[in-house]
Amino acid sequence: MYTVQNGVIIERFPYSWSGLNQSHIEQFPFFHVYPGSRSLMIGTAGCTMDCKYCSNAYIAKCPVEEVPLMNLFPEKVVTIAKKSGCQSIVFAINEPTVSLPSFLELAATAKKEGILVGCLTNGYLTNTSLQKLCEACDFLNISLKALTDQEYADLTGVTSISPICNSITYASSVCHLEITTPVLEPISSEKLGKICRFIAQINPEIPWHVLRLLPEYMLKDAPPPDIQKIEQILHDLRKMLPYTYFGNYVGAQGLSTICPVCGNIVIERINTGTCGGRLIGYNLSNGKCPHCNTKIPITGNYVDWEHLENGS
Amino acid sequence: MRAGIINAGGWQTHVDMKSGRQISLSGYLPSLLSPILESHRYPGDRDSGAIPWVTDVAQEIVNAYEPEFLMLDYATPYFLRFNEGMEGNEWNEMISGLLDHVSGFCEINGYNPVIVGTGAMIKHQGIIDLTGLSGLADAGGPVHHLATIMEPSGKDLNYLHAHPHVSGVYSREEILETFQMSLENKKDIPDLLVIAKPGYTFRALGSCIRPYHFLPGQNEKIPISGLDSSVHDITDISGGVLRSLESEKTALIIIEGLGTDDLPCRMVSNSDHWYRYTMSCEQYLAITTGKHISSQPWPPGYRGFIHDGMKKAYPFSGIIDQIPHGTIGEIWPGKSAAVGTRSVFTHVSSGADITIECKVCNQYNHGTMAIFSEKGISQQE
Repeated sequence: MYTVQNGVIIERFPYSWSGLNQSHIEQFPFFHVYPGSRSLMIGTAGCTMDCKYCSNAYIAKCPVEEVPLMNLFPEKVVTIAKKSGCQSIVFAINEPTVSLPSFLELAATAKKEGILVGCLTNGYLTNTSLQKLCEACDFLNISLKALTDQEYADLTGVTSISPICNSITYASSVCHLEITTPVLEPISSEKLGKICRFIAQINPEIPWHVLRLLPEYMLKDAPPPDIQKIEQILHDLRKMLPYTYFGNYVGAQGLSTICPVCGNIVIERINTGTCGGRLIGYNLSNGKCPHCNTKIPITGNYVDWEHLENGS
Repeated sequence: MRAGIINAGGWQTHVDMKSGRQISLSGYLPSLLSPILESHRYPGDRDSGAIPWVTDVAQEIVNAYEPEFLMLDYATPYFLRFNEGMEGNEWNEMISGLLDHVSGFCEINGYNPVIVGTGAMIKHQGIIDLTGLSGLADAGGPVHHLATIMEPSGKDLNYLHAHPHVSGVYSREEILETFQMSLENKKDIPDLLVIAKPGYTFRALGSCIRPYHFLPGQNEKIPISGLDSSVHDITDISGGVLRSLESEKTALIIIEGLGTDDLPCRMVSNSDHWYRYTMSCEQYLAITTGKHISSQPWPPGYRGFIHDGMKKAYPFSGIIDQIPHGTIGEIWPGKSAAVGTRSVFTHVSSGADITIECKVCNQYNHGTMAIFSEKGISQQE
């Protein structure tokens, strides 16, 4: 959220955070980054899109003045992350570019202290913002909701998909990238296939999270998407994009990492009722499948939650 | 083994509740409960339709399973007040309708209704900012007037003791001594437990992001109807229900946010030493096990997240990593069932043979779950 003061664009609510929460890194979701690790989830308020299904409208779509914000300088946020045993800070409650200067300053402070930085973004960025965000973050998850301008306009209010495709292409070349696609009814195999092909031609090792949306905000009365139908579509698409995951519903079975060569489960996850997943089994040996020695693209090592500093 | 059926908007799967892994269930109970889940979709925490959802599901279970002990919990009034700020006539009419609803249900099905209110709620007055402390302040969890501090400084202590809206500051040693707890790891208890005065909440790591208007009132007394005059304390309720069960079918009905003004009847004590129970796992367990905090596995301020790793058992249940013993459903040798809108608290605190509960996380409606206890599974064989 910005305003112009004396001809200069400035942030309206610098260093003002709506929430700080400890989280499993798999919950964002990030499935191929330091599995098992603990993150400090942060966010501010507001968004650059107007997604009709928004799950966090009470933060993203309400007037920022009405959100109770915590004023904390970057050093304090990093101290909280360290004291609570978090290896990373992830901006995830709303869109980070509405508070980019504060987030960039926080990221720089975190990196000096050896804390990793990540974010979830809608990817609707200028080239300058994109470069700054990618420099600041060790890992990104960009939401790709469709592949046509019309679909984006209908769903989010923005009229061009070009900046989002540009963000994905650029981010994949400079940092760890995962992509999330929320799915609503009516489910289209053609649409999911197009998105899958788009990602695969950039890099077939990019993890792709297909989320069964629980619509809220303007679509709160919409029916929940048909799980079986989505799973059937993804079954074939996994041949093109092997690290395709399907979740955001309790009991989800499409969350584990399967070795693309031998078909064994190498990282096992379940969904207990939150976004993303929960790690329940890690079988990689030096980053490789223990059955066929295939290298699985994971950034960082497994972290044992129980051995973390416990804020004590 | 405790097993469950998850129903996510019509799609169902079976899970081992301890490991979280998918399993295959067959037999009488899955075939009984699966269509009930399918035909009764949960409307959501802040939807008043969740009130008849409980009773409608319970009616199906009563028809098919005929339990002697039935627990029904209604969290909807809490959410309508906490998030939506419902008050005045609208609140009174909703409560009156709910009480008529449960009375009618019990009368039709021949249950002695034991109604317990978790206590009145009061308007939110303000926030105590803990972000300036040098210790690690954590205000996460369902009890919003409670915060924990690790490694507090002398300055932090001075700030907390002098704060006009803080009602209590308790050290780990004081907590352990007061409640005589026998926890294996003392670090499960925070260095400091801080309690706000009624109406106040904390701002810190983990504090609630969603807007809210009312809070549990930290009530000295809570209302109860349907039990004899020997019940004086919250921990007497489970014994009273078990005595009632010896002569008649009994329904324990827990209504969240219901205070002594809403249900003018007998009142029972709602405290353990200086701790006043509010809507939480502790209060549910005090009601259903008859045990105060000293004998509970997750006392106030319990730092459950430190055990939240890959090996944690019972992953569908937040901080809960075991099924507590001594619940009414576990003790009662006959058939038992529970239905509720307080997610996992329903099956964890009831100990019933079979439970149907909503599966909601941070108010995101993921659907419903049916859970069978070991006893429930053996009853079908």
